[in-house]
Amino acid sequence: MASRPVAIRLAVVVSVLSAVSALAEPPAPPASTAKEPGEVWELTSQTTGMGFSMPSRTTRVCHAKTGWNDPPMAEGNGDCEVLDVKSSPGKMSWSMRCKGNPPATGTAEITFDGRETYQGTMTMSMAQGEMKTKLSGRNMHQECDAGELKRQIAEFQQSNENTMTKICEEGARALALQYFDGPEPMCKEPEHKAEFCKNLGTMEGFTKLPAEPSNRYGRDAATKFCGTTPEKLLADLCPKALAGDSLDFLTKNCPEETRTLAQRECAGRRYTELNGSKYQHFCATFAADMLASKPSETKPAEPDKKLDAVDKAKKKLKGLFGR
Amino acid sequence: MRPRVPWTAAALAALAVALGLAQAQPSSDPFPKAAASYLVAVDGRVVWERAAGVRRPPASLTKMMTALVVLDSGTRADAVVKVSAAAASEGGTRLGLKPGDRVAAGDLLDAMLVGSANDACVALAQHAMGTTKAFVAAMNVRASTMGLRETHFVDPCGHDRPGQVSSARDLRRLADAALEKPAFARAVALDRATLRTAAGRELAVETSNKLLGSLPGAKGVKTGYTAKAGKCLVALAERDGHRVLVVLLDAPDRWWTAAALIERAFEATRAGR
Repeated sequence: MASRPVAIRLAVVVSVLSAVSALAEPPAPPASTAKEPGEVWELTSQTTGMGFSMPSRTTRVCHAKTGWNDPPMAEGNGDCEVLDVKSSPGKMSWSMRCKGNPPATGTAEITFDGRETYQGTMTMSMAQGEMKTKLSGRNMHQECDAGELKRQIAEFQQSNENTMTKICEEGARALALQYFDGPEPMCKEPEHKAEFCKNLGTMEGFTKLPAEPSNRYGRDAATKFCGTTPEKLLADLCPKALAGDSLDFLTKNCPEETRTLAQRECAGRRYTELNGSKYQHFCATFAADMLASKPSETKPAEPDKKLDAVDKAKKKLKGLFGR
Repeated sequence: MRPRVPWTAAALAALAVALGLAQAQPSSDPFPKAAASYLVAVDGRVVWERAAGVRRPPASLTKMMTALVVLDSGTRADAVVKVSAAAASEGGTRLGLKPGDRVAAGDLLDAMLVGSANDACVALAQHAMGTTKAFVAAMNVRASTMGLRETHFVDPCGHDRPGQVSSARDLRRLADAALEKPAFARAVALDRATLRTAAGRELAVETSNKLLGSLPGAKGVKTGYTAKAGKCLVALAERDGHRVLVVLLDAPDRWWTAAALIERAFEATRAGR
């Protein structure tokens, strides 16, 4: 007797197969929302094999009045392929191949009684053994829209594609390199990579990612993915930051441009002259950098004596701080 | 008579060593140009310092102790202080008091701290202890009880006098103690102080602290300048739950320097250092 997990797996396979999707190939997106005349069919399946018997399952589907060109459909085919569909007057046969654990293959044949009923059998084989399913169907002679399910499937597929697009667009915005890089990246479309690299080349993008070289998804890895380097990006961004007074970016990333701006906006100004000015914080930060540079002498202060270091500092800083 | 138990002295010595060790914090001097002496404390911990234990003239930073002694003397804020001729003739920064002016003690405290007014300072000292000499003695007693080993006062208001010394380290502890007093903390954050004498004359003084109103989070504390002391400052800023205190003695440019050190200190808190 098959183990319970395998039995469950087989039951899922069979129930999927017993209500096999009409679709040996993915449906085309609906050309229009026009209804397709259809009839309600009641489909029943019952599966036995490998020591157990599943309860009978019945479902209703809407099928086109044009007749059964594809195997009877109910819930879709999951991860199974429908192959070799053969139709002749009053009969239809096909084969199945299912991925998953355990994989399975099978064949089926049904016989139609006009447009009223069908009967048949499906046999699925897997490593653990064989399952047989009795298939039957009955025309309920109720009007329905046979195109509805196709439209739902198409919408679902489109929705899936839309979701992935949104994920990749958001990933490009958020500079989530893990979506784009690696052996099996989730986002492969060239336009999403282009968007990622474009965002990386902005001041906001440049500072968003961690700068540590060891970070797998940090700035170094991202620039390499985009075929550039942090230095090349800064060569482009620093002049822009200077022109646009992007003070925070300048002080953190652009020493040359910072000095240029400090000379222009801070040198010779008293602290109070910059009250309320956007440069006050910038100049204070620059002043900290100037204070941090080593003096030529480092004698500690002694009481009641002028210090050489302080004298030199006063002279050196006069241009920045004014009197 | 048995001699004094030797373990008492040993215990005291051990306590002194322990206190010294407890106060010894790993700190660095990354800003050698900041001032002759400087100290930066972040959230109560000294992070950067230079010559912080060296005795230097403190100029009007002295007034932090003046305020502390006045507040601890029981002088009420609404007590009426009569301004003496000596107080009115004080040099340096002044409020403009006249002999005989009667002013509320709380208003004089504000003027002394906000504008570093020396006439207000002497008036308060005389009111609290009778004479400036007695007041200075009280200041030194207080310094001693606080363990300010590098500090000694000769003048209550911070004029250059032989022997008037303190250190960045002591001034930091003095500022912390004074800031615990609500009246002190409130006064040092004011950008202006006004008062009215009993005769109806109105006087006003602007803050000498250029950081107030310009540096985000600035809350005080005290400025000081004499020819001997140079430009001095105790500055406090609070942002996002963090507190930075800066002491500068003889700084080339105390405003840029204080602003720079404070900004750098807050950056360090954001970086988790």
